[in-house]
Amino acid sequence: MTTSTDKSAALSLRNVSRNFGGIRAVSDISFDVRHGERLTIIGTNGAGKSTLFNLIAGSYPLSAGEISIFGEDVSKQAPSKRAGMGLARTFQTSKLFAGLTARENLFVALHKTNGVQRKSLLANPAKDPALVAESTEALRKVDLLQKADVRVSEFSHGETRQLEVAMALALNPKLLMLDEPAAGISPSERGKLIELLRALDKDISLLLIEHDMAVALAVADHVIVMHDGTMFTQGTPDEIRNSSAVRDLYLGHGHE
Amino acid sequence: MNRRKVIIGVLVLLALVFPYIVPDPGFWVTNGGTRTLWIGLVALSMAYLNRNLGLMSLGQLFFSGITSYTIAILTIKHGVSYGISIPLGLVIGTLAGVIIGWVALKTEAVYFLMLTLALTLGLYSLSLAGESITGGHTGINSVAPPKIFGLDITARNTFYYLCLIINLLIFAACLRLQSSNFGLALNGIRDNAARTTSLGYRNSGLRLAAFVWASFIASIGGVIGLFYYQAVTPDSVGLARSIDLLIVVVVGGASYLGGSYLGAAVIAVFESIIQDYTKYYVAAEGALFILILLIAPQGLMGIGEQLRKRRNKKLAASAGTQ
Ligand SMILES: Nc1ncnc2c1ncn2[C@@H]1O[C@H](COP(=O)(O)OP(=O)(O)OP(=O)(O)O)[C@@H](O)[C@H]1O
Ligand SMILES: [Mg+2]
Repeated sequence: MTTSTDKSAALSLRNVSRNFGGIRAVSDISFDVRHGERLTIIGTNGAGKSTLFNLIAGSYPLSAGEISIFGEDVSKQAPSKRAGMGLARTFQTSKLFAGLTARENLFVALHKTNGVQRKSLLANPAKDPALVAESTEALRKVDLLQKADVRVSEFSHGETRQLEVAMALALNPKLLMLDEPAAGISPSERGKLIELLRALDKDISLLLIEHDMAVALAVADHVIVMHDGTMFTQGTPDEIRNSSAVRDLYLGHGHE
Repeated sequence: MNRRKVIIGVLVLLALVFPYIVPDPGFWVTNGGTRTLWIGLVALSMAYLNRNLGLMSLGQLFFSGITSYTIAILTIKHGVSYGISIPLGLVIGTLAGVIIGWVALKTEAVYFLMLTLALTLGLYSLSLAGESITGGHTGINSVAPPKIFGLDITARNTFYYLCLIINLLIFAACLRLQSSNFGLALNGIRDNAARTTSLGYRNSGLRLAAFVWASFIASIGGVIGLFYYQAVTPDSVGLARSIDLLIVVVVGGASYLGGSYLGAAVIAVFESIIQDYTKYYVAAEGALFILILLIAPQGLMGIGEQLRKRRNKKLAASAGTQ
């Protein structure tokens, strides 16, 4: 691992830290996501995975360190600026617009694709063939097309997770970050999710947080294991699967 | 969706022929029809805020009142022509929305309610105290109606149709805004402000725009109110009127724009019928309010949704037992 940022990487973290009062939620993390790479972060509860996501997306400021996206230092940039560079993310607890339908949720996202406003604010997206086609495509990818006009407040938990992924994908991201997309979804939905992630365009770099080992290891090229805010270990899916240290860590924490 | 269009079409048609089908038009066109349109418009500005920003305002009469007083003071006291005073009144009412929205939107829920209530009370006491300008508690009276091409616009049917056209235009604009990117973004902000921010929306700017739009609607209500009474008094901006409006909005269904007119019609008819027994008015209005909310907690417009939910629940239950 080099100490200077790698210009060719989609995402590059150097000595990134974040404190919450006395808690060191993320401590001195450095890694790169290469262009087109699928990197998965696993780790015990409270390891700092979601906090790391919030730092990368810009939702929280850094306490220390440096983050670059596609070679550009974004450590001090607003979330919308980072979105504009092609970063899209989902949230561990759904942050959808419950009062809107699935399609309307996508319209809100698509209106600002990559942080740039596309059409007049006063235009009606439902009458824009391009936006309708894009939202339809996104819903089809996660198998929610038949629910396009249902309000999200009436969705099952699994469906909201799927829609989260569709929202992120609709933005046509170059760097996609998913926070536990498989949490609490049914086995059949899980199978579809794995299929979807595997079929992702090779141009998209993927950073995935996943508790579910089956999903994590099926999708990843490379796995990082976090523990107590630090990087515990990293390796290929096979190395992680066979690592006794990782097994001990998970057993020691009575992980589900 | 189509059923909704049919219902709106039928209601518009009814409103168009209303002066010719109603019994005793001399009384009901003004006290039922025009009154519903006027109250409905101010209530619409409240419902629009509630629907889009999730905020209940008791200050909409402030904007109406500012506009009414501006026009009355300029024209009746200083002889300025309506051609200038009416547009100026609307501009001032709307600009007041920019300044007040900028402050008020930093507050939430009950604090917003209190702040807007304070506005109403402020204007009320100001109009009482500034007697030399506002005419004190008797207000400014005998506001002569403006003439367009020699036509008295406050003639019974003319005024009704004028109000109807204004209301149709503004209501259509509200519906149009509702389904625009702007409307969807506002609903998005209400449900999840953090996410719209990270998508790149400027939440506070959009919310302010919605607030100013509502202030503009209330200001138009102020023009209509001025010529409806041909007077403006502190009571027309007072607390009692604001509470009336709150009742109108809640009875009609606070999360439905069309509910404003339904609520306004109920109140207008109720006021007309009970006006001979005014000492029971407040108690009777309270009883009506409670009764309607017992039957329809989401307001009259919410009854459809309520029935649909109940039916779905029954279907789900019977599917479960089979
Ligand atoms: N906004 C916050 N304020 C204070 N402490 C926080 C905040 N967000 C996270 N933390 C703390 O930081 C630590 C890491 O939390 P984080 O949510 O990043 O863990 P995680 O790895 O995503 O866990 P999980 O697997 O449960 O989702 C925890 O101790 C948590 O309590
Ligand atoms: Mg987490």
